[in-house]
Amino acid sequence: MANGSGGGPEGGFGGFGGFGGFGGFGGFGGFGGFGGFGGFGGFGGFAGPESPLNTEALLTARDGIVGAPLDLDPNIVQGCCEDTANLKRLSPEVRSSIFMFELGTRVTFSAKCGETATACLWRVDTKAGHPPKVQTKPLVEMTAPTIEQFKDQMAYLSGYADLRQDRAAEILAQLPTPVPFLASIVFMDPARTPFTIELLNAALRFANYNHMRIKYTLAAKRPIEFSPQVQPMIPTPTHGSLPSGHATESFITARLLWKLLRASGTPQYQQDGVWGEMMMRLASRIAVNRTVAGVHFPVDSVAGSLLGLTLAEFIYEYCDPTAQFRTSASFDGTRFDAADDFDWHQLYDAPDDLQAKKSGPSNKPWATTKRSKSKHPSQSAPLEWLWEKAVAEWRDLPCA
Amino acid sequence: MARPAMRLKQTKEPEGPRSSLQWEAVATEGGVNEALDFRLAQQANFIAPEQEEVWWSALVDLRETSIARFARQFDDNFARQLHIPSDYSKQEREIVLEAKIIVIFARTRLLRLVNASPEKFGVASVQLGAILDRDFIDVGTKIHSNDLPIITVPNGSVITAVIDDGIAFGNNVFRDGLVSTRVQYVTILPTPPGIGGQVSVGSELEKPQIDALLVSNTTAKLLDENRFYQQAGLIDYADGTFSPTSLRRSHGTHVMGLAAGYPMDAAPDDRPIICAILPTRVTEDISGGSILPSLILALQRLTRQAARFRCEDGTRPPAVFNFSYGNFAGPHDGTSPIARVIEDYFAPSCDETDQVLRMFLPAGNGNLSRTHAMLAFPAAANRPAKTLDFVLMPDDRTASEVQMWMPYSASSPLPKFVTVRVTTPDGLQSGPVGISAGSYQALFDGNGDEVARLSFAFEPFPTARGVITLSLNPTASLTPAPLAPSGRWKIDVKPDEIAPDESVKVWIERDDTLPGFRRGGRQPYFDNADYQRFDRFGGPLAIDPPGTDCPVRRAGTLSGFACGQSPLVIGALTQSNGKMSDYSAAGPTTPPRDAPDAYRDGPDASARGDDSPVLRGVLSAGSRSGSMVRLTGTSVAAPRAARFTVNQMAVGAPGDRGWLWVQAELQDHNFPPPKPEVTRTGGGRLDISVNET
Repeated sequence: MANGSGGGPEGGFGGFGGFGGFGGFGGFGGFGGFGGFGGFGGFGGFAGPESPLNTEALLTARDGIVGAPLDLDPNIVQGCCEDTANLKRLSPEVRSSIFMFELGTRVTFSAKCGETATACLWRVDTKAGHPPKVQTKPLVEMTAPTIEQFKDQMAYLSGYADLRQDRAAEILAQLPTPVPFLASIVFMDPARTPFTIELLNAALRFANYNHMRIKYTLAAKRPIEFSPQVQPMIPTPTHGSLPSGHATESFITARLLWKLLRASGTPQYQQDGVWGEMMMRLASRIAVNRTVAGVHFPVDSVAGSLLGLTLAEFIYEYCDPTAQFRTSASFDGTRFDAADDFDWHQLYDAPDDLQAKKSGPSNKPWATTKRSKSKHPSQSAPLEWLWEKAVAEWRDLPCA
Repeated sequence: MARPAMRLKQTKEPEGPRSSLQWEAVATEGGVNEALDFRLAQQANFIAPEQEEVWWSALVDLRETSIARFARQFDDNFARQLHIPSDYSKQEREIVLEAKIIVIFARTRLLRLVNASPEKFGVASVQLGAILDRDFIDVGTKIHSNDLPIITVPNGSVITAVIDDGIAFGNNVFRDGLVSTRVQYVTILPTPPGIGGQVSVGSELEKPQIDALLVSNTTAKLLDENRFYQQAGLIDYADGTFSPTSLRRSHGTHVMGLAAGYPMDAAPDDRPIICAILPTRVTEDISGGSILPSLILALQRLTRQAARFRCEDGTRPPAVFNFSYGNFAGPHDGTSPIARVIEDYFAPSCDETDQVLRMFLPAGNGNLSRTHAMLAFPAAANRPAKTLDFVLMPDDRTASEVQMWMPYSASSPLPKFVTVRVTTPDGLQSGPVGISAGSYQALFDGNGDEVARLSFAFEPFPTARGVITLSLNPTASLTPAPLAPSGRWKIDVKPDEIAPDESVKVWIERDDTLPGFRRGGRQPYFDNADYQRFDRFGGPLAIDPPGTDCPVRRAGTLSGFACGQSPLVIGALTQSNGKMSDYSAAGPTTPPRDAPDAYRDGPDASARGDDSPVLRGVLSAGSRSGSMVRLTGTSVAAPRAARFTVNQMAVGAPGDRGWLWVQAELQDHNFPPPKPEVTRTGGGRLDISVNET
């Protein structure tokens, strides 16, 4: 993805100086357009610098007025180093690269192949202000179910296929990003909440970065490879089935948004958890719709939602300097009862924003999470800056 | 009878294109219902060979015997092929009745044994229901006892009982609190045994169990409805059965919303609900599958539950049932099995027991379906045969059936009213089938497999009428199977001893696929050239042109379920202009044997089925709480009238047909004249807002 080229399907966003970055996700295999917000073409008045017409015009205009060389002003001072003050002068897509770096360098990865494959995502903790001294701790461990379990889960594919006619419009609209659907629950709009959208897009990039790596290791076959009768209603993506990327992405964004609303202190968002619950219902629906479409098993959504929820917590650690806890999660697919459907309630409690310690039978849980107080708070000044800007978008405005 | 006993001479082939098909006359021993035999025999051709013999639900019409005595007649081998549902109590099983229709579950072989010599088993007739998954029958269930605890309700309560498919009973319009349902009882027929209740087929949940499910599935004041229905056993994506409650719009939810839905925060405490959820799709059943056995079990269960209710003053509250289902075929004289079963519970004589029960049925949506014909042969020196052009659709994956009902006659043997011949689309004409058992016409394909049958049967008392049936195999199958040819068939009916004032009445059985369901059946229809479909403005013509000679009629399309004496039958009107909705089916019906008058001329009243010609249908509850969806048809008119009747019975109205007729006459003045014809609207047009309480 080249910084600076607005491009993509939303030409109008180019002029806004960088929302074209949403278009850039096209390169990440799936976050095509932020199509729902395409109406903001009005900002397009400032055409991009690469336009041949503009370049020619700027060139002749300079020739016409530049005059003889002048002396440099001796008072020009150096820019501020490692200062978040610079961020606001960067285009959102330049910032998105910085945020991606902040998150991407905080994780590393390993894989092992036993009866089924296991992918391990590790957190890389460094002391703030010091050269990195790499220390890794588990973040997410994910073990694929057996092929027999996937075979058993095939029963769900034919059952859910009956809902295709009912869900087709949703399934197609949910192909790119869950953000427009979340925006129908909480009041998001590029004009109103640009930093929230930026935060969610950073999360989406980070989610994609991780789940693609995990999918690659686990190499779980898609339903289409099990039976000629699945006949999905959309093309099956080439990447692996488990964990579901849509589940990861819809849950990571839903939980981060929920955290923003909670942090804003605005009264209506503090009531009994309904906003969080509703966003989770949406995230779950998006995940289930992928089974309806014929491209995912229910257990893929189980793994994906656990990954998304855990990564949301991980991002939050770097965003909120007051965050005190770190969460790690483990999913053992071989323990999952293949007769079971996806049920997010087993993984997460929205009113308290807490992941379940154990999911599944208590003596043999298929998912566990650990939440511990961190000794050294995770720090990322750019992410803290973004978080604060985003939270401010949800605070009630004080009356004059 | 797996194969015909013997084949008689081959009928002379008419001139015309050669065909690999061949009609043959097949001799039988008589007494066998050939249409039933055909259906039982054909099913084997359409299921995987490795599958063991299938289980059916069926109705048997017992005569002068008890259920227990009927069941005892089979030796050990056959006894294992029969299951009497646990719904029949020990006491009920011992009663010897003159005539009683009961539901049984049985394998094909046992049904063929009974059909071969019904009188030997004390049976007048067998009617097939649908094929059942063996796993759905729990043969080990205990027989019901009669004692159930009393449910106390406020004085003035009226129970609403709904029988339908896909009822999302957790919807907030059926709750009086976040985790408190107004549904006192629900039975789910399409679910494997083991969830709640103790019944042979399906499960039962009572209010405390429903409330517990509501509690365990509610977080942050929001009910996780998908999980609620999965735990209740209504939705199971893994077992391949399909519940419309997983769709946005479901028939049962919409209908129950109209009949008994209230806002959760304004829910009355004197309008309890009981309901039964019927199966929607029976896997691998190509025969079309009759819903009747399920309906009868539902009635058995719901009437039993209704009897548990007591008002605080000790009286039994009345119960108003709604069953928004219909079909096309049947004798249409109020003597069909469904009409008889409904009379068992809802006849005026039942009012003498201390609980008043009422039953609402829709008039049916078949007015323009071209599935009915009336063949009369006026007196003349030469009475020519009449021909019906019968279009059998391609890609019809279920069986089709045409029933030709003869006039009633007290004489024995029956007069030779008519003879019928059938011609295939490529011009092969069958031999004649007349008014006598003992042989039938069979159509064989090039492999020697039977694909269609034209046969006569005498439908015993109380119908007491002959019927000639054309039974046809599916026209399409995904696996090799003997298929009937699709296209334009001809049915020739030649008059013989039929009197000039008598007629043969013909109905094609319903065979369509509802929107949202996997495609199965396609509705065959009559396509006679002289049927006038449109009026002079190009709109659909909803009434037969006066004096028409065309045998294909709108008059007489009334649902085959809705011809009985006691149910309250409702047609559909368009609220904005007060006209009957085009699809709303019409009477008259046929007088029962030896009676001068029919039980009804058509529906008893009509009610809103459409808001306006452009806003088809009416709004009611969608499957999930808080959603509203549109559904059209007489199916939505009936529950609106049921709701009105519930509210009026609560303040003392009798709620019977006579009363409803008067209400309809009074309310008809709210609509612009003229009043629609009595065969479509009965007493008149009801003007009901569902917002009234």
